[in-house]
Amino acid sequence: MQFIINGILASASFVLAGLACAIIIRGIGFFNLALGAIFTLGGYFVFSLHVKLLLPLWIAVPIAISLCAVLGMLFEAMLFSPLRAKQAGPSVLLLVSIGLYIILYGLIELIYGPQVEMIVAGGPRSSLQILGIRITTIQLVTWAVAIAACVSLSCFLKLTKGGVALRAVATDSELAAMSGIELPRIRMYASAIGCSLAAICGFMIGMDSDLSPNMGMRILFGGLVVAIAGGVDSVFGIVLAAFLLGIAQHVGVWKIGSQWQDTIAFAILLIFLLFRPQGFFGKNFKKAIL
Amino acid sequence: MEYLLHILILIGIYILLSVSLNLIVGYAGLLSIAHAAFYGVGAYVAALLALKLNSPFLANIVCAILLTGMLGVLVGVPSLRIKDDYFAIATFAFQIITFSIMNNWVSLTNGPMGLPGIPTPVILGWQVNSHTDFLILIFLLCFIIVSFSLILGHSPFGRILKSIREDEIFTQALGKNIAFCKVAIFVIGAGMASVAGVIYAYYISFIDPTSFTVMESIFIISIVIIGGAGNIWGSILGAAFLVILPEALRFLGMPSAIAANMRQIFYGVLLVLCMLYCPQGFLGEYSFEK
Amino acid sequence: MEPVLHVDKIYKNFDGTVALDNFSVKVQAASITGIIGPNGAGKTTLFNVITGFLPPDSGSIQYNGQLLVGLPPYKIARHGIIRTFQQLRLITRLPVLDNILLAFQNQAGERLRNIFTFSRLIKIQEQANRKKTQELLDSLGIRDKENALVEDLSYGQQKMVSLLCCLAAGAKVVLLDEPVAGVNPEIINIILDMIRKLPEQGVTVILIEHNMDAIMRVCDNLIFMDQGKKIAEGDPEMVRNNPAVIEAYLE
Ligand SMILES: Nc1ncnc2c1ncn2[C@@H]1O[C@H](COP(=O)(O)OP(=O)(O)OP(=O)(O)O)[C@@H](O)[C@H]1O
Ligand SMILES: [Mg+2]
Repeated sequence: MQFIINGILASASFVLAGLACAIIIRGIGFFNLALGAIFTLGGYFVFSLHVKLLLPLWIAVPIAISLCAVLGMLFEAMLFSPLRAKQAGPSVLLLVSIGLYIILYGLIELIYGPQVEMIVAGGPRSSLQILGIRITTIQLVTWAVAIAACVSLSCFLKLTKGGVALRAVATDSELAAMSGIELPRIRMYASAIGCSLAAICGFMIGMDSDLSPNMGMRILFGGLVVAIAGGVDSVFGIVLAAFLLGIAQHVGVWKIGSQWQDTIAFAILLIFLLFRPQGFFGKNFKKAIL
Repeated sequence: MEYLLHILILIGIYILLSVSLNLIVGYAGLLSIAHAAFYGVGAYVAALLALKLNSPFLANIVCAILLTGMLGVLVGVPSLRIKDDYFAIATFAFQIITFSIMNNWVSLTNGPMGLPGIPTPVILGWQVNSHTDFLILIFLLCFIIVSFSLILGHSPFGRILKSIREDEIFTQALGKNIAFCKVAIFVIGAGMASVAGVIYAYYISFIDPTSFTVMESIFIISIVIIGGAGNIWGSILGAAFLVILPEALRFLGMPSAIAANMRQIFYGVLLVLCMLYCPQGFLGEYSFEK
Repeated sequence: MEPVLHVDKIYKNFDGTVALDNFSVKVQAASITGIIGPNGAGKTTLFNVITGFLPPDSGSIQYNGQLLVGLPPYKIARHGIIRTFQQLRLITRLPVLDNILLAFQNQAGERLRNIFTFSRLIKIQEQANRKKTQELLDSLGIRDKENALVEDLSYGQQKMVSLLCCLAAGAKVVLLDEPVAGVNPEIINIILDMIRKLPEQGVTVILIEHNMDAIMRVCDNLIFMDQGKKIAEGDPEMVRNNPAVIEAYLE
């Protein structure tokens, strides 16, 4: 039981990572693995601004988020969009995003070094007791952020014109384009939103534990699993998938040991890819072939 | 001199890897990011057999091919259900899981500590000892596998592979069993990659999981893409190019601390530029267009 | 006489749109059957169902008494039922020769066992197939295009190649989805002459066409369908004068 509760408590960052991945994958139409580096950068930008330049967090965090959003839009405008114009399929875009990840990873390690960094200097973490359940302050804050992200994203997707268009693109980009939606603009939105969420996620995880150049890849793994299992049609699906992953990993740690976390996550990913690529609730988005 | 031989041996190993991956990616059009997993399994099977059973080289290589071939089925079968970048992500998941097993199944693989002390191979009385011996061995294997790949690629079976890559529906309508062909080419490609693993294990006489990471898979796929998908000679050229060029960088006198990062960034930039400006690579005929 | 192909009470709907509605037809051996009907009548869907690319919701399809429903497309093709596609499908980035060579059935070089044993059969057969390909190309007068990429051919020539693929595949039944639509009159003549000769070789033809003139020139039997239903069937002249057909084609 304790594992299930712990699993749920720890899944707030999965919610954030899953939202980021879902928006990116479906919004811009392929698996953009460069997102892995954006998670990392979210953390490191805050580290630079807050720890090195001594800016207060409330200034450092928004700047870091904006930087990541701009980066995402730059990639979209300068790389992916020209490639699409040259008839590049999703596989090419995926390969390019891998190249991009490697470049960014290399740069991060070059600049910050391979060692682990902290945003908040270590020390005993404060925690509280609610209804007999121990929860750390960071977990609580992460949950608050995750819930805020879910709510505002839901509102954006349901209530604004841009959000509705984004959903249409996520469901069927060709149909959306035919009905007059400007694909390039929506893809820019998706890049900005997805990368902002990724930056927030990277920062929260950096606060909870620490920063390292390869942290983003791990976060991306979780995010991919959650995004695929949850489907993008529903924010609720993402939350549920995050719970599933959190619980599976915590039960896994208890039953077979913590080193198998990646294996568990990817086994779940494979199962969903094979049997339910549209996620829990998603409608089948596989296009008719004939 | 030793150094030169070492580079040539490395090139040979990457020729085996990239030519075999080219059959899967370039001919059949299935983007697989799992080749280092096959490479690694081949290496581990041979190393474990040699260390635990003291079995002869030829028996080990056969075992490695068979076992890895079976894994090839496991990766190939999902290609019947999922396509393009979704399939690539599934192979990515397979790669991570395989690495995680190599790293964490300590009782079998000795985990991160690796397997030291792999004996030198004896082939029909020929003690393969020196660098020169290994170079001769790898040259022989390259000759066999490259000629076989060329024959396969130009055979009617190869023609089916290419037509699967271009249009699965048309191919089926002409009575071709594309499911069988896809799985078969994965088995063949995986088997060939395991040969590279076996040689690597015997040559270095020590293996650990870090040689078979996602990064390694990405490196192999970069060779295939930059050399040219769908052209065996392209892979040979690509292997030579991508192994030699960073060595050349080393002579520029870069401090080793940053050399590793620079090398990575260099591969990333190369991959991105290649997809942007020359998606067919040096000699390729296929570029994953829509 | 027993029909070669017996399509029996097929239903097929897509999320509420009924594409085939209790559709039945018996196709006689070595005949040419035409199918006409307005856009969206379900003609292409009928081909997709017969060739196994789409499962019917209900109904059965028999080929020489053998049940086809549920077989994967490649097995149906191996029975000798070969089709073309309305949206032309060919390997456009490969030469004409390779496209047609691909079509031959039962090639020794498709079997890995033969490749692993370097069987000489592969080369011998490949040469024979090449020769047959050249004869086929000759029969339509496009021998000179043998090594041209399919994407460099005119639309009409591409349609010729897709017809030749069916023949190279040794089809016993060919399903042609609009074989002359969008093609210039000269090539239409060549293609229709070719089709007209197929029954002599024991090949059964079913073709979908909007071009009424072409239909009248080749068909022995004509089917008019609308909204998934068979409205009329029989002698082409008779079907053409059916009021429903006249109405549909006047619009
Ligand atoms: N794969 C599919 N998914 C959903 N609906 C489909 C699919 N294929 C066909 N339909 C629908 O079924 C109906 C019949 O289509 P079909 O393509 O068979 O018509 P057709 O008679 O070939 O028309 P045309 O003369 O334009 O080629 C149409 O309403 C079409 O929209
Ligand atoms: Mg049609």
